Amino acid sequence: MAAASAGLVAFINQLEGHQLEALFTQPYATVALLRSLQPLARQVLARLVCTGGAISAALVSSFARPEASSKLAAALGELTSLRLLSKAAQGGQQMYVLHPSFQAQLRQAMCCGMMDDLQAAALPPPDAAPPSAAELAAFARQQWEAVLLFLVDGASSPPSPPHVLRAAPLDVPSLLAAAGLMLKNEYTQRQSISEAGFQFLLTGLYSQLWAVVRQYLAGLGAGPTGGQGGPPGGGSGLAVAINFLLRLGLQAGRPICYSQLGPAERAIAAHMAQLGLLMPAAAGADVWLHPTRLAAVLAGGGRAGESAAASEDGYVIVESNFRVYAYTTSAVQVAVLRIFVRCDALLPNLVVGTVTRDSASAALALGITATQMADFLRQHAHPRAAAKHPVVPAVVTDQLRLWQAERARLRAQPAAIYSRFESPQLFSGAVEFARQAGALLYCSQERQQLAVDASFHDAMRGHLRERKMALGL
Amino acid sequence: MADFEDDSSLLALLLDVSPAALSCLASTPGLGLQSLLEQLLTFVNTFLLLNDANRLAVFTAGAAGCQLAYCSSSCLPPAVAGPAAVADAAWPPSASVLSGLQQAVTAVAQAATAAGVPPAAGAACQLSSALSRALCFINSQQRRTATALPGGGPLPEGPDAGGGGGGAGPGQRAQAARVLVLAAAPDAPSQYIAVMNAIFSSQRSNVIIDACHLGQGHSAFLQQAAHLTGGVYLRPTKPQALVQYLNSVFTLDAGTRALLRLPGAAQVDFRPSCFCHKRQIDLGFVCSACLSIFCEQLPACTTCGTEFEGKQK
Repeated sequence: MAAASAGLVAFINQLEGHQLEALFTQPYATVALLRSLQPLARQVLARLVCTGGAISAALVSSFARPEASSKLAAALGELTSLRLLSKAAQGGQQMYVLHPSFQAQLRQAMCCGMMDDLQAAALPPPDAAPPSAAELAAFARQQWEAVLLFLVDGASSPPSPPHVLRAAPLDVPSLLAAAGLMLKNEYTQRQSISEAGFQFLLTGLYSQLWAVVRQYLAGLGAGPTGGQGGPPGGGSGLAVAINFLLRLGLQAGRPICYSQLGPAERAIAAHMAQLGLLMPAAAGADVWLHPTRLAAVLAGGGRAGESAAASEDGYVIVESNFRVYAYTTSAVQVAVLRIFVRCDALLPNLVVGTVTRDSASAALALGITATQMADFLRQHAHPRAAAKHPVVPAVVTDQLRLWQAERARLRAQPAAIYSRFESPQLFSGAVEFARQAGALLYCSQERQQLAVDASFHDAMRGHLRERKMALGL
Repeated sequence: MADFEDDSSLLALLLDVSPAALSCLASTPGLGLQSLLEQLLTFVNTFLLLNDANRLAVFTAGAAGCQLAYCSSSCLPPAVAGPAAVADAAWPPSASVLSGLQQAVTAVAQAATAAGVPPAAGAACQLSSALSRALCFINSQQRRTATALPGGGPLPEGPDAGGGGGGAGPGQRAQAARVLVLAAAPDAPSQYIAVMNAIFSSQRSNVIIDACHLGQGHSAFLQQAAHLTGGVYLRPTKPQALVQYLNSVFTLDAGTRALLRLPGAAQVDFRPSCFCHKRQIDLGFVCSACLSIFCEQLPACTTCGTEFEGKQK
């Protein structure tokens, strides 16, 4: 599914060799990548990181219990496809070699921690109160929802860059269009949401962030078209940009001094502030950038992002009579729900809707799957509803699945039809011949008609000719 | 979204700093106290690196009692962990753990000399109190997360609340918790009952007890603790490479453990201590009413007062 493959691991899988080499020398990228891996792969790395040289593949495979060897093989496959592990033959034995610079970064993080460069960095003046957690969350929500709202209706204004930074703003509409989430109408020059955009809305926050950031990074790599003043293209520039983005989430809420950043990082930081990953706050003469929850989700490897999203903004209650109650004031959340829920009443803090066959079919026609809808309802469940089991009533999830299956009732298959048989014997013989070959698709005794798979046509023609000769027709 | 389970865990690490353990460590070739602390620090860093939701507390268990040496900032109550604490908390906590541990260890050593206890004397660590402290810590953490979550509300103290342990609400699962005991001192048979009670309560609250024994011989207490709670008991054959043992075995969460081969104790020493003289025994007498264990036949149970019938010697 698209949602599952839209994370850091998928992004790194797409990078080329020299970009990977550059990325693995970056400390924060290394740690974030480690956390995005599946648990078993992480444990394999924990075991191998302090070893030197090559490890026999047979030894690594013997880590697993016999019944779990396929899972270990999958984890090793993930590691090799990311080029963290490479296979080499040595003395007639298969050996695994850990990527040397990745290993060095990981060892460094394990032994010494990674705060060396941050310890040296200045701290904001103590008299300036940092923004509270609620303020950070509100800012992140405001900026990110502006992106989503623009995606939904294409008419509202995209998030504005924070004024204090005085930086070139990020062109959010082109970014969304380049990511394939919006389509531009050539005549009206207006953008509207695409099918991929609807699917995007229903995925989790982690996947959403990565879809946007991925496109942003691609823009940086492509040159000056995407990000103004971005780092120079090529492996190292991209690696530095990724490392900087991940560092925002990994430094445990420490603010960054805007004026101490390099020009390239400053541009990225301003763009990320526009998307809501950083909250600028003036303290003294400088502007300090405080990472928000979104930055932590970006670097959190998916699992943490999911829980962070769930604990804060659960608002949906689904009843077994297909009623949906959503306690929300956000226009985006209402818009997302309306993709597949018929809206019955819109109250100041509550949306009452119903999942109907029509509303679900409309969403299915957009390419949204039943699983995506059910997952959305589950992930955004109101805490009261989330405490129940199952979170979304089984009738609703089952019915969504049935409605999806309904769309696949008809199946097209190339076929050849035969009619006007000269004799009933010829017809029944042909039916029997096709049935034995497993190619019979349809036959009607009354109409004396018969349809077989198109690939079987030649064999059938030969058979009919033979039979006609034999019957003397 | 990641398609794997939540593999984060809450780890309470008990470091044995009793005089007996310290003298044992000093005599282990290639593993002094300093080296042990450094390797332990690497393990702590690795554990915190592997998952950003991993939480950790380090306790030092001495002969006099048990002290908290370090805990992750997310373990502190919100009142304590203000913005100042966040700025303080270096990540990973390289320097703060090491300095905290060193302070604790030197404090223990000073206290021992001040009390006039020769360091080589067999003062074992208070394993029972340290285990209880760790279990209390885990329980308080799990309760706090359960109440902090919206909708969790006050704990469901129903008739079934005792069985679940951890105090998690019906919907959310409490974060898996583990205790890792890093011990070097020999068992103190006098603590048998208290240790077993701690083991049973951790068994009941689904807390795994792992043990890594660095001293001479095996520890029957730790073997039983690991055996009964589903943990791993390990006595490194090469203690100087401790960090590899720690990183390979004790960073594993419960879910991943089910997939990997782990070192298991070939034989668990199940011998109990008698209630009357605290001697470790192979064969003994058991009270039929309260299951107290005695090394000699008594006319009545000293625990519950039941009078034993039958032939007296």
